[in-house]
Amino acid sequence: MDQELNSTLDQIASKEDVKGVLLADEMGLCLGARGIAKSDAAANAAAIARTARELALPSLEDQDKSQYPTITLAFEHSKVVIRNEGSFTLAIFM
Amino acid sequence: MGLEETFEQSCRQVFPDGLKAGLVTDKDGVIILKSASMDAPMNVTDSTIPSTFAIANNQASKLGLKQNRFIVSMFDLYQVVQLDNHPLIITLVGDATANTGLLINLGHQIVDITKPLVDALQERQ
Repeated sequence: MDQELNSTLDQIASKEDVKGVLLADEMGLCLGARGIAKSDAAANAAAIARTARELALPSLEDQDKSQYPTITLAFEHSKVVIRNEGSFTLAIFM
Repeated sequence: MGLEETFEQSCRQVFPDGLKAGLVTDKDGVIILKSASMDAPMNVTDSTIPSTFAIANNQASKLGLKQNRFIVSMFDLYQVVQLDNHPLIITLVGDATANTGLLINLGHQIVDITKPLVDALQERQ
């Protein structure tokens, strides 16, 4: 049932420069984690995506995909890119 | 910083994310630590909430999957995350739309915060 999901996560994780991948559902629960990404971080990734969306959009209704922000957390030697388009939250550790 | 203040501070950080109340009780529902937001439901301190979990936790541990760690209950208006912290029970009540993962993470944080208390209680037993 989750074969396609797992193969997609594996595909992203195998890309160059990608150190970890994390997928969270609407409730902040981890659907999958690869590499350095820990499943505990799923809740925080979902919360960050939600807060960023509230910052830019007036309400939480379904919006056009282009209206959802892509969040980049810049650390000194690495970064995390987070995106949510209404339901799941994807976080890529680079 | 004392145990109560640390607990209060940890819970307060999650209030904006939908947490309504955090409780640490014993198996019978006697409150040891409590942190509630202004709009927490009235019956959140009811002793039936932790004591029912004690029974459910006990039964869940008999499913052949080793010890049950926590139970998440989803209701129409609220969600309740409860963790076994023997001999204590941690109960977190949040909005139905709150981030469940954050509540579970907070629960684990509270397990760490209350470790000295749990060790002291286990020594006595």
